[in-house]
Amino acid sequence: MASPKVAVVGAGIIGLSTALCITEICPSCSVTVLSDQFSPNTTSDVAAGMLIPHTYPDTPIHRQKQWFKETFTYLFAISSSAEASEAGIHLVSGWQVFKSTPKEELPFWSDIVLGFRPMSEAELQKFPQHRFGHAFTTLKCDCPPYLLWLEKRLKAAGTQMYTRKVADLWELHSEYDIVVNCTGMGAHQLVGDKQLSPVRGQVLKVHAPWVKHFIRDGDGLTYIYPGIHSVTLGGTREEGSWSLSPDAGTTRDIFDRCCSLEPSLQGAQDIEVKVGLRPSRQCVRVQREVLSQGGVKLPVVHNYGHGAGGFSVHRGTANEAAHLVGECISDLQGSSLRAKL
Amino acid sequence: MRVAIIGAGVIGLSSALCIHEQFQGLLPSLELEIYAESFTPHTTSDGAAGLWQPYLSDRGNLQETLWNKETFDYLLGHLHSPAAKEMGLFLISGYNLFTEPVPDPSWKNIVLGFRNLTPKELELFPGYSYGWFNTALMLEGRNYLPWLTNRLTQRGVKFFHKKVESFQEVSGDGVDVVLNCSGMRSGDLQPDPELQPDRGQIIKVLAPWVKHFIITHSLKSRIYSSPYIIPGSEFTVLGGINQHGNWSEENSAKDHKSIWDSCCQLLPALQKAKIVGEWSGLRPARPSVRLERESTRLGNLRAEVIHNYGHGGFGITIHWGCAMAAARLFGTILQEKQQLATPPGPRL
Repeated sequence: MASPKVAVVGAGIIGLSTALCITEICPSCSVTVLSDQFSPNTTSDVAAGMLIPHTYPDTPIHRQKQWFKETFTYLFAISSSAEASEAGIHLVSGWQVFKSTPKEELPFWSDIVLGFRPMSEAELQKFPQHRFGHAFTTLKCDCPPYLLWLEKRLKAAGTQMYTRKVADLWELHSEYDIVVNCTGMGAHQLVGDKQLSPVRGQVLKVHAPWVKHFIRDGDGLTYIYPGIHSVTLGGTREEGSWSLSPDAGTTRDIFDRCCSLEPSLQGAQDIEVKVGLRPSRQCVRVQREVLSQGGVKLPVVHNYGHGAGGFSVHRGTANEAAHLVGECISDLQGSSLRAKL
Repeated sequence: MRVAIIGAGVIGLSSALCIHEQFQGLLPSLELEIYAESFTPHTTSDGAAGLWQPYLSDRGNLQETLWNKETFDYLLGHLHSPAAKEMGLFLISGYNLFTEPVPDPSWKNIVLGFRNLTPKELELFPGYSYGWFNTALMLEGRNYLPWLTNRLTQRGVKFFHKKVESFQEVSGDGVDVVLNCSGMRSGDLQPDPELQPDRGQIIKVLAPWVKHFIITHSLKSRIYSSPYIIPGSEFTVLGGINQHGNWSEENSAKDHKSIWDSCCQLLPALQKAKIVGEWSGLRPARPSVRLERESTRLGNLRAEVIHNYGHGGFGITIHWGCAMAAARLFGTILQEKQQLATPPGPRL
């Protein structure tokens, strides 16, 4: 197989970063990205893109840590390069504050972010309702810039991108040798994964350029994440809700919760409300399988179900998925050799 | 009681406000008048980035360390007030970078979360092998000065756009106390060979992805003569010029290139930043701040002068501590005058 044809379905952060990893690992592949939505209309565009991992209950911690570390290392290098502003990658420092001391002393990612340490008494004065906190510096991926930058890198690598709604993976079997499923919430319909469910998140994007730090309350329901041109205020976690319409009462509630953490936000301007559905799963599905129908086989690599943690682990899972694509190619090459004998 | 303040930079305006706040209630006849050649946005304070950070060494002036602390604590107390945004006041964290280990500064316990940089953090800054991280405050002159002006105007303080050539010009005619907050121009009012300009130049850029201040240090050279990057609320300041004895307020192409090249080396992404302005200013440098009383006499007229100038590159950092000290000196003058005003006792 001279030039395996790979279709990546999905153009959010997972689809684009997986496609990019495939072009890096398998330069001879012809990669095409197919998606019904591209930036700025993906779920990834709603998210703040903070590198603060979500813990998946059913994925081993060492694997999550590896994914996070790879992602952090990759973005860290971009953040200090000349491309940082174009790629939308920047460092941001801040605080995660708790009203009561958390059960676990240190999160698994504390040695990967920068300068992680408990907050001092003086620092906690800023948060009178909170008794404990962590201070650290991490990275933020601003979207659309990061997605647009990935698209640019893909185009430079010869990747084609098409707007197309894929209703069934089998649609692709005649044009492509391997299909990579990065459809996020779309996988619920596309592959009938009932373990995947939406967790609705509403956010406000506001103009408050004097806010230079992130603030995250406890388990992350309320947060303030300063980006390049706006500050993302959040949020909600509504399990099982499929609604993409902003709710006015929720907007008021988010704004109040954030102002309580950062009073200066009362002066914020240009409030834009957005909604995204976190494609949530007990464990991220990074897995290959071979679909079979009437004697025809279709190798598929899945990379979806990142829920609240897509940005934090995107590069790590993209690399893993790209290696699985490599395995699919080896298998195809093996079987095509056998077919010739 | 009329008080004339010369200078409308951060020192003049804050001293005036501090005195009015403390004494107007005790002395309803108190009238303050501010005379200045330049008002916001044309003062030295307007050009400064506005970062609260003292020099690395206290130069033996422990008083100044106290005034710095008073200022920080005062500002921190205002951080959550509704006025903070209007004042141009917000928290900011960042990096101080060195090419060798240095002792901790006098202000390490004044700022928040002061710590050394980790090896991984230092990877961000090739060429620097040691550094600090801390959280401090920004107080942007272009917002703070108008805020101070509004507070003063509300209190009935009068402003006069005038270059004052001598203390006598404003004293006499019922003006009992003159506050000399004339910064770099103090030498025009009274020669002071210790006051010299430390000329700075800055480039203003749009770089909203930069959320931290980054200040590099070259221990062999003057402070702020090594590149620094300070993100504000509307633009980011790039700097790294400190020329002792240079009185020029013209932007220099050579300095522009030096700032641009050295800051882009520090943060390569700055190459893409749009330049929106450039400015040169004179830090009113002195071995120590001159904050003291002086009695002047012209014929029969006596006037008390309170000097408050020579704050170099830390005016914003120290301003409130100095304003309070100036107010204390004013209080002493008031007490003395009241003693003089007390009717003499019966002679026996």
